[in-house]
Amino acid sequence: MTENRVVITGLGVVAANGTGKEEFWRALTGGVSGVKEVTSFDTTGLQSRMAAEVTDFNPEKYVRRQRADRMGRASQLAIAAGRLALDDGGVELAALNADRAGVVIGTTQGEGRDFERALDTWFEEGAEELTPADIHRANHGNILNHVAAEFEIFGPGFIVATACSAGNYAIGYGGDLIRLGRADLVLAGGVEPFSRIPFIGFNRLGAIAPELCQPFDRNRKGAIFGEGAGFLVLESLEHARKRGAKIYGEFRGYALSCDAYHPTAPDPAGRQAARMIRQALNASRVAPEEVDFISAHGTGTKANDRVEAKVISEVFGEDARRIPVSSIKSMIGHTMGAAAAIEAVCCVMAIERGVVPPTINHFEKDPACDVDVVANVAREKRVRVAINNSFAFGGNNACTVFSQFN
Amino acid sequence: MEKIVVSGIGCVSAVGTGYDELGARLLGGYSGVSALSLFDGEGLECRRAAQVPELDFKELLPGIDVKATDRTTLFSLLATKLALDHAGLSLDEIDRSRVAVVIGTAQSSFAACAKFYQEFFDGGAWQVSPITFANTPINVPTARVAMYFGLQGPNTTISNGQTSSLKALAYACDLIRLGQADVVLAGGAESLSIEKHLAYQTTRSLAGQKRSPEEICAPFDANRNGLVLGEGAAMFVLQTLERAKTTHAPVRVKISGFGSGWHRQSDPSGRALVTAMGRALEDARLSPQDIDLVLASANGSIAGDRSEARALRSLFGKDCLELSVSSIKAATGETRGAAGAMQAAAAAIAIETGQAPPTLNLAQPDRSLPACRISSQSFDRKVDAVLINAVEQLADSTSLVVSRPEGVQP
Repeated sequence: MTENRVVITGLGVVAANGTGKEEFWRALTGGVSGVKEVTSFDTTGLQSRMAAEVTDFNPEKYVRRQRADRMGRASQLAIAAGRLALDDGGVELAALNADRAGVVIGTTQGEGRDFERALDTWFEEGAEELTPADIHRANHGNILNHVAAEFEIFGPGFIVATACSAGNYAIGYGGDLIRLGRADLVLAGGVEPFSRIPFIGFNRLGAIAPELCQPFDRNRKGAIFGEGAGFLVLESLEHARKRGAKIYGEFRGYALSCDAYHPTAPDPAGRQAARMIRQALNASRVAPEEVDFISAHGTGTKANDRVEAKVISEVFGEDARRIPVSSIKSMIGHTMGAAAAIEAVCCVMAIERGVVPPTINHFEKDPACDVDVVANVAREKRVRVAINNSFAFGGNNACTVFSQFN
Repeated sequence: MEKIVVSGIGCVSAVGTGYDELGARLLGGYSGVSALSLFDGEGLECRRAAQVPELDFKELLPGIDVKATDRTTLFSLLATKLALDHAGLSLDEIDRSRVAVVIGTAQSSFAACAKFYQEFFDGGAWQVSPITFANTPINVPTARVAMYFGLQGPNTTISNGQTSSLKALAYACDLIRLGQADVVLAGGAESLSIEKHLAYQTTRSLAGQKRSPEEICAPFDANRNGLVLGEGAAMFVLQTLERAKTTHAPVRVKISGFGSGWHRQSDPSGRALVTAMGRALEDARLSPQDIDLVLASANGSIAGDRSEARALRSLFGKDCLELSVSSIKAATGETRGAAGAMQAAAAAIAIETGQAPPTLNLAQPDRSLPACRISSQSFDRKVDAVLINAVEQLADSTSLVVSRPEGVQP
């Protein structure tokens, strides 16, 4: 197996506070939140009415080879972010060897919104009112199929459904496919549309904040959910050089682990999470002291942030206090299957631009979170290495490591 | 590429529970299809399915709160337990942070999603159950397997429709090759639910909905008229040949190759599968003549089976009487995300017993098939290499080659 270096050559994102990497980055560094009142369904009677929905999304702008109305929202969002990434990377699809280009997509629930619509039809009108088109849109396997068909990418294709870490799993395996020599280029990322089931479920668990998402804050009250999609164009260094691609940075490596502890709560000791981060650094040949930015999972729940801060302290020791940590979920909400991928886009931009985005709504740091939170205002800082944490339901942990390209 | 071998196989299906029972019954021509009993079939079309019989999960899975556990998860847990037993693998003697779990599933616990939504629909946001909610994410079965057995290595759920479990097996092999795990428990799982039945019914794919009213699943038969859904799980203990030898673990079969191919608008149907099979063979360093048995994706669907038949003809030639072809789906039902894994279990059975499984209900083979050996009864033949297909119509096709390990004679 050859030691293929994997570089990032394109970035695409659709988030509540910005579409396309420039608008997104301006919003992030400006501390602009995309959180507002939910518009897609009635939140009467629920603990919270706030979410980070993408309300100005026009699928027809991005879906060109297929009919946008014949696919679910997740497929539309994925195609949008995918197209933005490929365009950003100057990838000429016609010139690509389609068989050596791949797609790996992470998601938690797939076509959640369209699945719920089908259930609405069934419950309210009866099963005989369901159409084959309804079934098609509700089926998350079709997300991959629509993305592949849209860009005519015909190499390896996978959907990884590992909840809120899925974006990292997708990027990880996308890089592996290149390292294993099975693809020259992989569109890797994650997508999640906004839907009722997680919103209502987390409400019921008391894990949603009523107004603000406040990662690492002493008075944080929970997560706020969002939707969106994020994709990276991963490429072998050789292929990127051959086509004269702009190289943002390098995808150095990653690691996965499982808490094997509890269905929804993280292991309070964070043992598997700490081990995983160490493993990710080892796999990437990066020493802890080289890390300049930690993009936290930082959901804003009492449990996650406490454990995450503990894990960071454990892994980085003395350095834990000087490495800036930020959770952009404070601005874009918890985008579930898209989260780690959108946050990877943020890491790569931080490396490129030498700026670390803030954790907004930060008024008083939780003393139990002994980490350097970039509070409210972006910070200029040279970022040689950034790590991207994700800790999902079911204990699915993943961490991806990005660096400047040397 | 490193040789990845299978040391143990566990399965739960309508045909049988456990590798030995599955083998005996599959080869004996047993069909797992029966009248719907899992849920109320009133008003439904095609009221037949291959349902896993009632099992005493409480006894089989000590410590599991069966009532609070989703059905796909129960199958995953049991199949994993059986696979570990089959491999003689004791988890006490292994570094569990180096044991990974990878499961392919199309719908996973979506029945829990529908149940949760029904609770909300009927009673509002505060009538929903946190337990039901905890069962809704697609990664639940895989995560619960890790929890139950204390497995802390990589934990991945692949959810890609029909191709889920072959992709899961391919991904699992990569985890080992890349040094991310020493042992991987990998396979596929799927359970029946009224939502899934309705989805297939809406697209008129079920036996009896088109062409003729008989609700008989007859893959590759000239008069086939649709599929019958099934459920179950098949899990495999995977490791390198070297590790298996060092730890004196059984070496049952080898995973030799994997390939996939995409359907393209401009191409004729079946092309994606020809590409997938070709790539799998290339990966395995085999040629079509080396394949003894094809375990087909065919499930009785009118267009799908024809497409696969053409693909086989294209790859193997129109005359390949040395080739045996079989579809186990008339017996196991169409288990969707679990199908590839079930077929892989059947591949091992064929290799170990020297018998090709029957294609039940086959009266008259479809004309599109090449001239090959296919029968409604099992038959003797030496099987060294099996090609397994899992096709997602109008999307991508996957193929896996499973072979006899070197030095292991029938």
